Amino acid sequence: MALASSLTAPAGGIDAADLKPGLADPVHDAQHIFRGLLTALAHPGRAVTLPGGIEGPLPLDPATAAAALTLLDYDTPLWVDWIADTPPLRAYLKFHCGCPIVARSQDAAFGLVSDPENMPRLALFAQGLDQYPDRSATLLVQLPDLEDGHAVTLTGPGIRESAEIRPAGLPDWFWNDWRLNAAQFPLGVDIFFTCGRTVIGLPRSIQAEA
Amino acid sequence: MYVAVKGGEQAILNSHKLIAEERRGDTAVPELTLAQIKEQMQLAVDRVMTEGSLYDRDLAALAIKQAQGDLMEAIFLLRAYRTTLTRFGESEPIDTAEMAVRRRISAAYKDLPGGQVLGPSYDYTHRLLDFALAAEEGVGAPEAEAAEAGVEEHIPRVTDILNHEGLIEEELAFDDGEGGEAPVADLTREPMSFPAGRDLRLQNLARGDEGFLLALGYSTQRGYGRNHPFAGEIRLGEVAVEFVPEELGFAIELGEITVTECQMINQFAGSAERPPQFTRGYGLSFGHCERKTMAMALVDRALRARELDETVEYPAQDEEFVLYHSDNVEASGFVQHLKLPHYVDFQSELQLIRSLRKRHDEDHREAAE
Repeated sequence: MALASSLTAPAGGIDAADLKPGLADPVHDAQHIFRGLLTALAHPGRAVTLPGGIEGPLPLDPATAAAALTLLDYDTPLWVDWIADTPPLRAYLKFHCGCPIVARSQDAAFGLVSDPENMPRLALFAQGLDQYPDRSATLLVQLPDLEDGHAVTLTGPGIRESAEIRPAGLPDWFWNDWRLNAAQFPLGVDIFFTCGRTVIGLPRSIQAEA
Repeated sequence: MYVAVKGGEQAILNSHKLIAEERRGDTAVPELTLAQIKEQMQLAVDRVMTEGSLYDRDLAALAIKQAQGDLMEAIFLLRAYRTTLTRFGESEPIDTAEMAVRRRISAAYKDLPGGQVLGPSYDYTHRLLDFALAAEEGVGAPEAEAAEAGVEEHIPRVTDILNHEGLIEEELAFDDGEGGEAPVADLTREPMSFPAGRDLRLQNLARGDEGFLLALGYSTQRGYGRNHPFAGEIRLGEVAVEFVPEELGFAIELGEITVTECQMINQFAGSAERPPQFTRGYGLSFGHCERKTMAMALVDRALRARELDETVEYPAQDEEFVLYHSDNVEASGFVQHLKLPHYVDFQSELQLIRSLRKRHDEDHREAAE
């Protein structure tokens, strides 16, 4: 770790002083956040609050930054949408996560979406293979609001009867794409919706009625 | 890996206390220090680093102490620790031609550029117990005399010498189909898949159990997949590990590691596509693990049967057999999980046997009547 930080100067002409800090206590904070993300996936539709005190570069909300700092590393190629793809964000991810940033969404293990209305169709991300369904993408989709949108009813593993979520800012095609995504289980992408410090998990096993 | 056990919590805690007590042994005897293990049990440390896939002499020494000298358990400990480490990049390939050689021998050429350097070796010891080592006062500070003409700085590899004449196959990087080098497989990141490339096979063999590979290598020599090997070269020494930080764009040296490399030279009669030439078997380890690298090189060559159009008939040539059974952490876990409770399993087997016996008895009675 000491070696990593002494070797990895921030890229893209960003001064180290401009770099937003990562997790204050990398091991324990990451464990905390990971637990929160697991809870969100285990109980789809449930709004989970992630630990505070994390400030990422624009346009990342604290929950998006927390998830990125926890899930991304050298082994996880990341695709970033054009709004989020700024030198400060690249420097931040490079320095704190060391994840490679790829140009094609198909090559990414994670996708970071900050402009959901213009996000790529779900089929444009890695869907996994029949032999290795785990080789699919996990998307961090940052939304303007998680309580103000159209009601969507979720059913499936982890939900006793049904759960209702109201994510705002998704494109029109989204829930139709999600139906196709869920239909190809065990293949397909998994999604975390983030806003502020809140995260909602939407694993591929979940059926949604918009 | 099977590690979790439920129930009997108090018994397990007590068992942990007992192993701590047994590990310490007789308290009248001074406690072993890690420095002692690191300095005086170097070959054990080397084996644990190699099969544990982690170059750290201090941690390997700690693992050996914690495992009471059970090297497989120590390897397991080191592997488990390794999984917690952050990976931040990949080093440049090490260059063994630039090794600071401490030992270098060839069984193929007597006189060769760079010469034969016997170095530290048990090969010509008489295997008589040395009771001088048992003396209370110890051995003091033995010192070997340095040769007048030191070891040359740059010693070419024997395979490179043969390569100049075109008598041995060339060692080429894997093509990615777009004119570049294909990325090297890593079985610690992606599960093994078959057919396995040579990169994946070599990684598996490098971590593989020395005893298993030794037996398989031996089997090829005894006729179960014979490929006429010569120890073309074995070299031991220090090599630099370099890393290219993306921001700098040039390599910086991170440090030195000790490695052993074995290049086996094997006969090959040629095929439709290739002229008769020598082929290679390759072995590499951390530290000084000569037997391991030789066995690895034999098995590497045997596993190339398919690629070289040879018939795959023997265990050492069967990649699924070799690669799935070479890992002693996996093997030891699966064998030893038999100690864990199988009470329900066994009850169902008992019922089955009882019902089968009942039917058997009835059939016999009928036949007798």
